[in-house]
Amino acid sequence: MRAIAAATVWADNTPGDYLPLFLLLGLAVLLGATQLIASHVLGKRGVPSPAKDSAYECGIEAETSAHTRFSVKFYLVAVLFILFDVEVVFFFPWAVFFGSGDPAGIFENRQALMQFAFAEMMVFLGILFLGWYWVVKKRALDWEEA
Amino acid sequence: MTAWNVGLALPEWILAGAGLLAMWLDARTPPDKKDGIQNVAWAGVLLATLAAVFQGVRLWDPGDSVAAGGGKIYAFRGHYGLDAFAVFLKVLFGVSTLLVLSLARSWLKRVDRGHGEFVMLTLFATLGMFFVCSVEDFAGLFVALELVTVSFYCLTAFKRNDERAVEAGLKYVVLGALASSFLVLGIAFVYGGTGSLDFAALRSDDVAQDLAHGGAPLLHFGLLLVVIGLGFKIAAVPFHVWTPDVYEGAASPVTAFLSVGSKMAGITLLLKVVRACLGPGGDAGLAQATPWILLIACISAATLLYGNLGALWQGNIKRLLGYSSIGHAGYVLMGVFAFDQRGVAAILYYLTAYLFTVLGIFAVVVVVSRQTKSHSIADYAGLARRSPLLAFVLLCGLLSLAGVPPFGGFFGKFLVFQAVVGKGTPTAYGLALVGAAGVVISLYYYLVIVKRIYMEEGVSEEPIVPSRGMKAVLYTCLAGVFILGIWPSPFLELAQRAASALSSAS
Amino acid sequence: MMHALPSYAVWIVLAPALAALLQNFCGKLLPRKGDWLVVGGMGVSLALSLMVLMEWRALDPGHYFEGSVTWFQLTGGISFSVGIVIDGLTAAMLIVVTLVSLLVFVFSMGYMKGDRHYDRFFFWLSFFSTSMLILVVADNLLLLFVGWELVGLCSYKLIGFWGQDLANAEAAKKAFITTRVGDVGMLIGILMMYKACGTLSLQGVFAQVQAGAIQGSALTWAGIALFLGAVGKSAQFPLHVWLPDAMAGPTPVSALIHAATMVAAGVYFAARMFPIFTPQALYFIAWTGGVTALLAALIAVTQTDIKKVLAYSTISQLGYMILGVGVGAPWAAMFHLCTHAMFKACLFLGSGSVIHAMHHTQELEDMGGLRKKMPVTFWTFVVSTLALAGIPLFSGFMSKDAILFEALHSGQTALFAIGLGAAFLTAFYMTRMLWLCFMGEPRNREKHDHAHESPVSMTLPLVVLALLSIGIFWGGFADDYFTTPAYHADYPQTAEVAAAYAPAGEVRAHPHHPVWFLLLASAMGLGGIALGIALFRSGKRDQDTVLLPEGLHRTAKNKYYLDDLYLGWGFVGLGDTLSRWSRVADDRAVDGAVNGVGSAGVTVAEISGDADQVIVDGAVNLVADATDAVGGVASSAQTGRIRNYLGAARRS
Repeated sequence: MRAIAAATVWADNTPGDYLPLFLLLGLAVLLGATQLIASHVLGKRGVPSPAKDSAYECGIEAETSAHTRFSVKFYLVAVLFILFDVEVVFFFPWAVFFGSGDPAGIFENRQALMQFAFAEMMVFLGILFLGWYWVVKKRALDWEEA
Repeated sequence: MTAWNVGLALPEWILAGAGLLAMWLDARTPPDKKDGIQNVAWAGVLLATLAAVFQGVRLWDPGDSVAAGGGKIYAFRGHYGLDAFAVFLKVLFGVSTLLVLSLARSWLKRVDRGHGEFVMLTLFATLGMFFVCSVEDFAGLFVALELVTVSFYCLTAFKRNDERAVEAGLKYVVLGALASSFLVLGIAFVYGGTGSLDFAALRSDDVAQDLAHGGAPLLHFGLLLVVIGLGFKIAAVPFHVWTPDVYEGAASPVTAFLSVGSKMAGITLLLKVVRACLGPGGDAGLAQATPWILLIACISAATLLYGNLGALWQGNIKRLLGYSSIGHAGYVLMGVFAFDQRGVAAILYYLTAYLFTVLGIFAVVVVVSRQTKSHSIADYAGLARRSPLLAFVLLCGLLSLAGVPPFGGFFGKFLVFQAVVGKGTPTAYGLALVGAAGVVISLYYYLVIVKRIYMEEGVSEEPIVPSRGMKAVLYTCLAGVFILGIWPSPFLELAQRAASALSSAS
Repeated sequence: MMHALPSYAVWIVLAPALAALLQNFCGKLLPRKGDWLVVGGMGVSLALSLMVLMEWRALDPGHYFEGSVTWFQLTGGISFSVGIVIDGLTAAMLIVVTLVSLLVFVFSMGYMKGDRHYDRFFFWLSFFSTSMLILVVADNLLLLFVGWELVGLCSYKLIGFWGQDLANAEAAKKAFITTRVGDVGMLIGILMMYKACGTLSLQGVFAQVQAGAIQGSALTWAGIALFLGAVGKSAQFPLHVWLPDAMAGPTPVSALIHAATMVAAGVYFAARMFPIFTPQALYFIAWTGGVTALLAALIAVTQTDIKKVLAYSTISQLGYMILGVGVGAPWAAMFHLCTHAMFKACLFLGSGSVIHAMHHTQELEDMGGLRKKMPVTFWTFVVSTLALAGIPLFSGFMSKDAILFEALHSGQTALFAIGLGAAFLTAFYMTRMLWLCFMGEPRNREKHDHAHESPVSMTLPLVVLALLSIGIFWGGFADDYFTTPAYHADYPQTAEVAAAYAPAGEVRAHPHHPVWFLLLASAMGLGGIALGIALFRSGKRDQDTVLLPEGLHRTAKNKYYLDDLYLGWGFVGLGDTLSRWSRVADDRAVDGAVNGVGSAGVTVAEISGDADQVIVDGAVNLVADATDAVGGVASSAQTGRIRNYLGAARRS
């Protein structure tokens, strides 16, 4: 009745359906290994020495630990970024469902489907935009704010 | 079932609109002019509640075609359902939010920042609660519940300069996330077992057959995980551990909202899921299987005892209320144990009385702590002399929680016990006995507070004067507690109709 | 047969209720803080109770008044009502409650004069009596339970009225909680009856039980569960521990609790529910009562606080009443309840008068020789003591004998013997107290010199109550009332009880008691008094040990160590331990979980740091080393010598 489309799509899957995936995985591993081995086999090996490892050749001497504390603003921005990033993920199912042309036949015709899709995305974007507007107005993105 | 019927979600539209409007206004007003946002929120929740009431009036009109057709209307192609049960709870949620917003108004005066955020989060949490009443599938369940819970994460840590609040918020996030993961995993297993996310799928003949023959272990496992996940939300033992710390650390209005709104949301979903497991006839099916009944009885008994024993020697009133709220979850679970029309009606009545009682008590806590800057019970000594009104509200509230007539809490307990004993099984009698023991124990720690406020001399005699808005909240809660205890008839009738709507849901 | 309730009967409850409300809201504005409102309300209630009694007497046996309105309905059309039922039992109880309440209110006007919370005291006093009246007239178990709990609530507020003193507040809490233990049993009993009968209306329940809707052991258990409520409220063993502590309240409150309201509620309830008790349940009830009567009398012998002696005496007398219900004679129990209400109220108010005169000293050690200073108090005290001791011509004799005779008649000789023993002890300890308090030489000169007779508002109730303790006032009316067939018809019995005991309605009034029985019973009372006088005439105060062996005396004086059991390591200790555990568990679990997640994060971070070093670098190095080795091998193979290549080729 109102069965979710996914249920019908995946209902008859078999392990064989995953073959391309495994092929791809194997190919990736093979490629990486080949390159590593090939470079070693083919390349010349240098002899390490203190002079070679010194900072002279690769920048300046490190003065403090790499694990320093960052300003909390970095996190704020990072969190906001992730938030909006995740929100935008909604585009994918939306695009896939409406691109597939309504296989379950929920809508009467294509016209209705498109109208709904458009309205839904506009509402979504509206909320997203309001959130962004709020963030800006709250000066969460202002680096200089006290 | 297949109609969109978008207008049916009018209360939710109003709430969402109010939330977004509050956000817009918050972005555009200077920090010292946030009162307007509170008015918007108040008006929004009031409108949403009224909309729900009007829907209820239509639903309950016996001459109406809807009432004749099973009493349930669907929207969003069946993903959203509205019946008397949903409406009853929506009104409860609406009323509790109104009271919390009124409570928070005077409290917010002392908070220098974040007024807009507080209001927005409250509105979004309420929106989640409204959705909770109407969800018809597990995906909706998860989204609605997360909307509530995530809002509460932020609200808990709202006083971000207060170490305790931040600690409480962190604890709530970590343990809440754990609960949510249980819930999601459970939903995945249920999906695997039934091939659908709809609650209705659990009631389908195939599944019922499967279950009746002891099959579908994964489905059982999934439902167990779902129960655990919801158990976290309602603070049932052994998933209660976050409660005392979070109650203590969060700001008082937030704790009030948490103990009423969040808990009721969990209970609503639990009732919906258990109902879905009951099979088409409502009397056979998964939830009637002995191990499940025993499980619920055990959780209920453990919750009752743990909450009430844990509260015994608490020195902080919010922490004590946290433990006490665990105990009350146990009484509600007693109603779930007796899952029939009487049991559900008892739960609904219990929640109604609980709402007014708890919010009244928290109103007192907010007012008192503003003056004494303390939540220690010792600082309530001599309250009767500092403010007779506050002392009286606290007295009535505590006695109502203890189930002493003629307060609302008594009828809630009476109905729950009556439903349980009505089962007539040895397990039921055992559970009733444990519940009875809990009643006696609870009286002890409630009386400790009463003793302090009425009989002991306080360090200060300085009067405490609640603001006008606060007085309105106090009188409303007091009236609610008394009316529910003396004249239960109309409310009981509504609760019974709501319960019958739940059990007849197709 | 049911008759329509006389329209004025509603005001029996409403008059004191409205008076209490008015006094509560307007008391501060009224002259004398509105105490006259409360007294007036109770006066109206008393007058109406008398009227309703007269009307009821005009009815035929087994008839009663009933009137109710629907309260609320449950699914399935079961409705609960708020209603009043008035039969002989209710009518008698109404008189007791309203009369004693009225006298206590009047007494309080003098006793509480000048108290800081004079108005609040009168509100709670009035509310207390109102709750009791609700309980008495309730026509269904639910309403009865509501009244029952309200009585408990009011007792809590009144016992703890002077709660600035920590002991008083603790006593109040103890009273409320201990009785609530029994109430829980009662609630479960009510629910069991509801499940079996489908109704909670008293007449409906009785009819269903008669019809056999619930029988056998289920009925026995339901009966015992219900009776537990009475055990708590009427301070029966082992839930009696709250009553002596409840003496902490102001003395009028003690009088009210001991005579008219709280403890009477339990006996009334047991008598009310008599029709549902099976022989087994009655057996349990009878032994509870008998054991309580004896044990409490033993404790009373050892007490030195005037109010404590009276408190244990009350427990002991309540034991008699419960014993009366248990041996199938609820009318005898109610008779004793009525007579006891009068003389016990008199004794309490008398002791209040003494305490008032002695500037709030309750120790018998400090008294003595008050006879001449307080003649009215003394003589009323003597009369009521004689009544309590069960001396012929006083009211207590008639009612106590009725119970003892019924115990003998029911064939439970052991209980009869226990009853006789307790009667002897009663006479003894009352004489002891009377002597130590009023006779002999003053032991505390200073306090004695300041003592004076109390004002008329306090002595007037004493006189009225003392007069009512004299048998003549009961002889005609009450004896006839409690033993008439009309009254017995209020107690339909289960078939088993009817078979085990005498059938209801059989008149066994006290003129029918054989002469030897009367002689034996009076000998007990007179013997106790004689022994008391013989021992205490010399003025020595520790003569009570002569009567009891040393070990028993110590045990009784320590109240059989029950308080220590409950408070020390019993229920409270257990609860304490459990709650501590649960707290520790919570702290560990929550903090553990959160810290666990935190430290897990750190650990993961450290591991991943290590992993960066060990695993990733290691892997890289490994690959490098491996390639190095492979390369070494390979390059060593790459010798550049053609013959090796060839050799390799040849080998392959």
